[in-house]
Amino acid sequence: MNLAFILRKYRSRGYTLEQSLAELADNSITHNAKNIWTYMYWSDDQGKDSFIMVIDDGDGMNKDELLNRALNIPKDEHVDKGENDHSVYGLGLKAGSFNHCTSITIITKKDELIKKTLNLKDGITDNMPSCIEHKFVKKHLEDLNSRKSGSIVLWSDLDNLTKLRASERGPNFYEDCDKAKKHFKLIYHKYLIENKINLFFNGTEEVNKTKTFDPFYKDNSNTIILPGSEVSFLRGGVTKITPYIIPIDTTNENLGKTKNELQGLYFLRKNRVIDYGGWFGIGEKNVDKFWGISEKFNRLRIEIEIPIETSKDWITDSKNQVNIPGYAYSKIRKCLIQIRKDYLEKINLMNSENKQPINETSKKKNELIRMLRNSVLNKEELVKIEKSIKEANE
Amino acid sequence: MNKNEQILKLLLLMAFADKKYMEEEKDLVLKLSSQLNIANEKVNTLIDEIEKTKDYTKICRETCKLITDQSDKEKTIQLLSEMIASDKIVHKKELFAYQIIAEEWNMYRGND
Repeated sequence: MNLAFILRKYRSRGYTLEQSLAELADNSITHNAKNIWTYMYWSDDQGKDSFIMVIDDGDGMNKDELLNRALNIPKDEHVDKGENDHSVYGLGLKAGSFNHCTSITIITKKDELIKKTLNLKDGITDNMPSCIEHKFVKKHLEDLNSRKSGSIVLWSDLDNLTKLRASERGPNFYEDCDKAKKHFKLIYHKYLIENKINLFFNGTEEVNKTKTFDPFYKDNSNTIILPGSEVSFLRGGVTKITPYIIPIDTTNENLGKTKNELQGLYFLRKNRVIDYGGWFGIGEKNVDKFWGISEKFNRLRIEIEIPIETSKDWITDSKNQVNIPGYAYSKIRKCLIQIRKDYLEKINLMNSENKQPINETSKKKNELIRMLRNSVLNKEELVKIEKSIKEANE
Repeated sequence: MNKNEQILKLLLLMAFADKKYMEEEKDLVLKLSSQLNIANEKVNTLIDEIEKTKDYTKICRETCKLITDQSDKEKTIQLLSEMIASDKIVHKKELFAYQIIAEEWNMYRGND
């Protein structure tokens, strides 16, 4: 069976664009990249010559690695290469990319510079897409030539991104770019905080760099770490559970999700968030109802380390979703019941200013109380108070 | 086509981005064309050309490439924002056109 035929079968793995791009970034991190640059370029109304490109300054690949692993279906099981190895099945590059395009070009440098294209028509070829002449691509190609090693992954013929969108294709394309940026900011937050990687979007300058962000606000003095635990399983592996009560004031998260949606569980594998937000189908024992997202728990975020040895039991093959395995469910639930109880106790003990969950009305109320306590009010504060009284009377 | 005409062409592309050429946009185009010393006949020729175009994104990008002077780029960016605001409604397609023009000139930064 030819390669192109098999890869066509991998086209609908349910990857969103940001998840596919994360597969490429995972590969870059696995290959020791310090800098990862992502470009999304919309060329024309139909998006015909549009392209997406991810560049890194990692180890690069030799001919064997490129032809037999990156651009092919691996013949052997993946052998884990340590703490930065984010490969699970060895299919992420192909499956993630072909969800959105029909052609992947890889330009890589280890000992020598090699260029190959894998497309869904011909398989592996030496043909290069026309966008290789674009100024963004050319610039990075020159940079790669002058560097010791690195790789460029270039998607062209973005058929699923262009044809499947009826209107507003261009504007939506750039909205997807912003989504990817937000996704990266969260899933690679540990790498960014520890300054292990730099992530750039649509440029190489400081302003294009993704800012660091910690969803658990560990360095914030208002964050409370609740007692956590380590859970071991008969099937092997240990998972570490660490709960945090995040501060009330987290207004600038800009993740495209509400505070309520961001409560709950954050599953990490090797310092990379795999799936997050919500309670993953867990609920009280012997009750058919699962815990939903609610304002009451919107300051509770729980970090859960997926055991490396058994991570395939927890992660879907497209590596973007966690399903808690049956054998772990009850132990995890027991632990979470205690954490939720501790959270509510702690919240009730806190002083009145901080105890409420994050809510627009209570935020406004607290602000007004603070203003009224202040004996010398400025003009702006007086206007705000007047406005609030008017709103309350309406 | 001289550089002022290129600038006006970009402004017209912006005005037509939402497929509607509003009165306020027409007024602004007339005002700016006179400031840029472009005759009404030329303005009409540009409008005809833009109305016939099948690919706004492509023509936007191509026109951008012809404006190379940094001060012209900065001036155009300012005029384009005036054009967007002229009918007091900001359309998604206008923002997109603005974004790709800024991107061509390395003057665009996404959200973080």
